[in-house]
Amino acid sequence: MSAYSRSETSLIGASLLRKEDARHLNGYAQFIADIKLPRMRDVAFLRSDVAHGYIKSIQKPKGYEQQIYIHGDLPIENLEAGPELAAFRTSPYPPFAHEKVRYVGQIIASALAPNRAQAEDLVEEIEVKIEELPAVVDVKKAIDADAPRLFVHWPDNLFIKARVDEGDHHQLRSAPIRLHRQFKMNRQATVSLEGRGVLAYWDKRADQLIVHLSTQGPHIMRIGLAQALNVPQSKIRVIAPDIGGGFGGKNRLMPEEIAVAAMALRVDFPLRWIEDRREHLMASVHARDHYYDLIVSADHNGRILGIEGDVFIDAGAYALWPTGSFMEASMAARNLPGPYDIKNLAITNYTVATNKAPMGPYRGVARPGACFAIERLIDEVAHHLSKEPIDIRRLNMIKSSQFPYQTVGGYRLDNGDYQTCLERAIDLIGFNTIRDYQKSKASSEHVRRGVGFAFYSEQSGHGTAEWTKRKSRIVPGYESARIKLNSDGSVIIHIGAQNHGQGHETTLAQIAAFELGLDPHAINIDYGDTAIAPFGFGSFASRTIVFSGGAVAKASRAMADKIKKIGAHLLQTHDQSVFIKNGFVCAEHGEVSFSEIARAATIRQELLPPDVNPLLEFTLTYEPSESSGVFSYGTHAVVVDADQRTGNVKIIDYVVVEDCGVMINPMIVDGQISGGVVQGIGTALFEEIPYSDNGQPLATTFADYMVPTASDIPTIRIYHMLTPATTTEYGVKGVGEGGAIAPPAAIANAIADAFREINIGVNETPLTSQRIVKAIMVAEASQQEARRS
Amino acid sequence: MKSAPLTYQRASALPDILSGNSEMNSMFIAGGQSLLPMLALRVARTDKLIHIKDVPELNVIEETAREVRIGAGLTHAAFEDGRVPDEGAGLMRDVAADIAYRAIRNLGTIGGSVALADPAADWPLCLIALSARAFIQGQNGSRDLWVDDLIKGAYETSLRDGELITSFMIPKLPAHARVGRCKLTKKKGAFSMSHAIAILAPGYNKAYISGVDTRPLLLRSTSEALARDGAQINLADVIAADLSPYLDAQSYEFRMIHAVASDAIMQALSK
Repeated sequence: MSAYSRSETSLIGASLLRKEDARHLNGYAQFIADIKLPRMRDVAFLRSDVAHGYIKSIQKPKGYEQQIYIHGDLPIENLEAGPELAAFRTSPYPPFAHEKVRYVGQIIASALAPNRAQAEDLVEEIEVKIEELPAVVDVKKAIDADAPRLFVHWPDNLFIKARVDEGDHHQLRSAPIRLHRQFKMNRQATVSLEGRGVLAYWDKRADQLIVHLSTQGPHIMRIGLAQALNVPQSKIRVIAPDIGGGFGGKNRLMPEEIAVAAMALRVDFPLRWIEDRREHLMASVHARDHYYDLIVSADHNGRILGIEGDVFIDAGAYALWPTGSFMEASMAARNLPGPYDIKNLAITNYTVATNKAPMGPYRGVARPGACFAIERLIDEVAHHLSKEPIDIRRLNMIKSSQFPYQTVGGYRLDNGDYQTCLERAIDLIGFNTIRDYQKSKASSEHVRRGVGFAFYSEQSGHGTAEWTKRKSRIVPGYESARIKLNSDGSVIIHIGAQNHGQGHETTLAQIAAFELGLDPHAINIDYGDTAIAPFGFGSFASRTIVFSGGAVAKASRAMADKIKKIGAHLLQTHDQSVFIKNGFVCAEHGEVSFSEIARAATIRQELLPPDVNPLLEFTLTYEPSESSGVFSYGTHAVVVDADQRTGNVKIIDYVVVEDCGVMINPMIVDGQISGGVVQGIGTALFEEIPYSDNGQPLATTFADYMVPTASDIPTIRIYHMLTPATTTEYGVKGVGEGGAIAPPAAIANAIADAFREINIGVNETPLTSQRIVKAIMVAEASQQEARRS
Repeated sequence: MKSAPLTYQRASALPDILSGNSEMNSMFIAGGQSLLPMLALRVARTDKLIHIKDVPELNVIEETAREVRIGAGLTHAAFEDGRVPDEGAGLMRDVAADIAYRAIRNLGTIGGSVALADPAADWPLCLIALSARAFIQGQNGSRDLWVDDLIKGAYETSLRDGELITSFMIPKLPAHARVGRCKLTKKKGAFSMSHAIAILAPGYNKAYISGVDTRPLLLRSTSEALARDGAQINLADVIAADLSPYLDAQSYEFRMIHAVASDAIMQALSK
C-alpha cells in the first residue's frame, strides 16, 4: 500500500499517511503506564473531600509512617505562578496542602506501596481532621466584601481585575439598539484519552533524577521541577514518552508531579503515579467556566457599534505554574469583537478564586467562551431587528481590503477572506433549503429544525510580541531544531516541541524531506527527552507547525547548503552549479551521494573543502517575522433537529469552512479540525462539572460526566480555503484549536433558530435537554404574558 | 480507583453458592458492570466475591408455546444478538440492544440488573411490563414471585440474605401484540432519565414508565383508557393524570416525561 494517499510530487500539501500510526495501531506505543521498572512502587494520594477548611491534624497509620508523606516531610520550594504583573495576586500552591485545603480533590498526603490498590488501602488508614469552612462556589458572590476568603491576606477573592478599554464607550449610551445579555459556559475537564502520569527515580549511574512525564513541554517542566526541588537542571532529566492527548491539560506543572519527583529524591526505588479517571475529573486542569454580562450596542441596520460589560472567570483555588489563569480573562475580553469591525470595547474582567480545582488551558482557551458570547449577540441583534443572522454577519464582518486589521482587542488579524468563508458555509450547509424546510413544517410539530452559524479566528504561531504583551513569566518566542546527517546519509531531527497526537513526526518530516530532497521515511523526527532534544517550549497555542516547522525548514536548509558545498567540492565544481535530488548532490558531469558526503564530513575529513568544518549537524532557532501571530479562521454551520417537548437535540449536518494557510498535510489538518469539533460538541451539549453549594464536584465519573461518543457525532464536512500567511515558512498557520472554538456558538445559534418564533434564551453551555426545555417554557410563558397584556 | 482487598471464588454449581459463607461477608458477582465500579470506587465493600455466571441454572434457555424461561446469568448481548427466544414482539431484544454500550452488554446480566433495582435500569421496567416472574434460590429453598413484587424501590428488592435470582419466566405476548418504547437519556448509552414501554394486546393493555417513582410505575389511568378507547384515547390528559401525583405539572420534568410516555404509546398505536 502506498504511503501516499494520492500521487503527489510535492511534499508540501501531501496527505502522507502518518508515520506514528504504525506503532499506535499495532500496540507498540509506549505511554507512561507502559513503562515498567524493577522495584517500582505506586503512589496514591489522600485528597480532601472538603472544599474549604483548616487542616487540624493528620495522623499517619502506625508502622507505615515511612510510606506516607505530608506537607513538611519534603523540602519543596514554592513556584510562583501567574503573569509578571504587580496587580496579579499570588498564593503558594504547595503540592501537599498546608494549613488549609481549598478544593475537593486537593492533595493532603501521599502513600507508597507495591501497587496502586495497596497504596489506596494505605491512604484509607490516614486520619485527617479538617475544620470545614463555608465554600466559595459562585463566581460573582465570590468577590462580595463578606465572602469567605480563600487567602486571608488577600482583600478579596480576586486573582486580578483588569480592564480593556478601546474606543469611546460613552457614545454607546445613545446607540439606537442596546441589548443586555448574560452568557455562561460551565466548568468542564479536558478528558484526554490518556490521563496524566509521572514516573521518577534517582539514577545512580547518571547521578540524576529521571522523570518520565506525560507532558506537553518537557523542557519547561524541567525548569519548574528544578526550582521546586532546588536541584540544578543538570541533575534532572525529563522524558516524555508517547502522550495520549493533552489539549492543554498536560501543559502545566501539577502538584502530583512535583510530589512524586520530590519523593523520588528521598527513596531508593522508582515511584509512579498514574492518574485515574476520578482524579482527572476532580483535580486535573479544569476549563471554560466563564460568565459574561454584556451590553451590545448597534444601529438600526444592525451595525455593531460596541460591546461593554463584565467577564468573570472562575479560576479555581490556585494559579498553575507557570502562567496562572489570567490569560483566560484577558483572551476572553480581547476576543469578544470576533471577526467583526467593531470599534468600541469596554470590558472589565475578573479572574476569581473559588473553592474549585485550578483552571488551566484547554483547546481554544477562552476563545470558545468569547466566540459563544459574540456569535450569540450577533444572532440576538438579528432577532431583535427581525433580520437574518447571516445578514448581520455580512454587514459587520471585516472585509478583505481591511487586512492587516488591528482589532480593538489588540490583535493584528493578518490576512484572509472572511466574507467568502462565510458565504461558502452558507451555501454548503444549504441555507435556503433549510429555510424552505422550516416553512414547510407545521408549528404543531414537536421536532423543529434550526440552522446556526459561528465564525472564529485562531491566533497561532504567536511569539515574543504577544507573550510579552501578556506579561508571561515564560516567553515561548522561538522553537529549535537540531538536524544531523548520519554517516550513511540518513537524517535525524530533534525538536523542542512535543508531539502529543498532532502528527508532527509526519508533517515535520515532510518539511525536511522537501528541503533536502529526501523521502520523508528517511527522516526521523524525535523529541521529548530533555537530555537529547534542543531546548524548546513544547506544543500548545497552535504553535508547532509555525515554530517547529520554521525551525526544521531553517535547519534543513542550513544542512542542504553545507551538503551542496561539500558535494560541489567533491565534484570539483562551484557551489552554485550543483543541486540536490533524491539523496544526491548532482552536477552536469556527475553526482555524489549524501552518504559519501557524510563520510567525508565525519570520518574522512581530509576530503572536505578547506574552509568547511567537519560534522553535519545544526542546531538553530526560528521565530516568524511577525510575532503577534498569524490567524487561521473559519465558519461553522450546523443544522439541528430539536424536540420542543424533551429538549433533545440531534445534529443533522455540520459544515466547517476553514482557512489555515498552507497545509503541510491536509489529512492531518482534517484530523485536527474533526477532533476539535468533537470536543466543541462536548462543550456545547454534554460536558459539565456542576458544584454543590458546599463545593462538592457533582460529576466525578463518566456516569455523570457526559463525554460525546461516536454515536453522538455527525459526519463533519470540512472544506478549505487557502490564504498563505505572509510571515511564516511556506505560509503555514496553526490549526489545532479552531475546531473547538466555534461549535458551542454555532450549535446554540442553531437551537435558537429552531425556536426563533418563541425567542428562547440559549445562553448557557452545555445545552442539555433540561436547559433547553426550561428555556422553551420560560419563552412560552412570557409569550402568553405578552398576549394577555 | 482500585477495590479494597477481597477473595474471589468461582462457583460452578448452585450448591457451591448456596452453601453459605457465613464466616465472611460476601457478594455475588455475575457481569460486574455495576458492582466492579462500585467496588473500585470503594462505595461498596465485601470480603468475598462469588462469581456465579457460569452456574448452569443461571443460564437456562427454555421455550414453550406459552412462555420463555431464561437464566438470570444471560447477558444483555445474548438478547441483543437474538440468542434468546423472543417473548413475541421483539421487545426484550430491543430493550437489550439499547442498554449502555456493547462492551457493557457483553458482560452485564439481566439478573444483575433486576437484583440491583437501579430506578433507571431497563430490565426491571421491561420484565414488569411483561408480567414476568422471578425464580429465587436461597439456603432455605426456592420461591418465585412477580418481578413487580420483587422490585420494591430504589436499589431495594425483596431478596433476602444469601438469596439469588436464578431465572425468569416470561409469558409470551398474544399474537399481534403491539409494543412501543421510548427512552430519554442525556446521551446515547447513558442511564435513562425516563423510559416508557407500552404493550397493547387484546386483554392486555399496559403502559409502564421509569424515572417518575423509585420503581417502574404503571400508568394506571392511561392503561385503562387504552383498553377502553384504543386509538381514540385522549392521551395527553390521561398521561397527565397519571403523572401529576408524582410531578409538578408546570415543571420541565413533567413536560419531558410526558413526551416519553406519549411517544411510547403512539409508537404502539401506530403498529
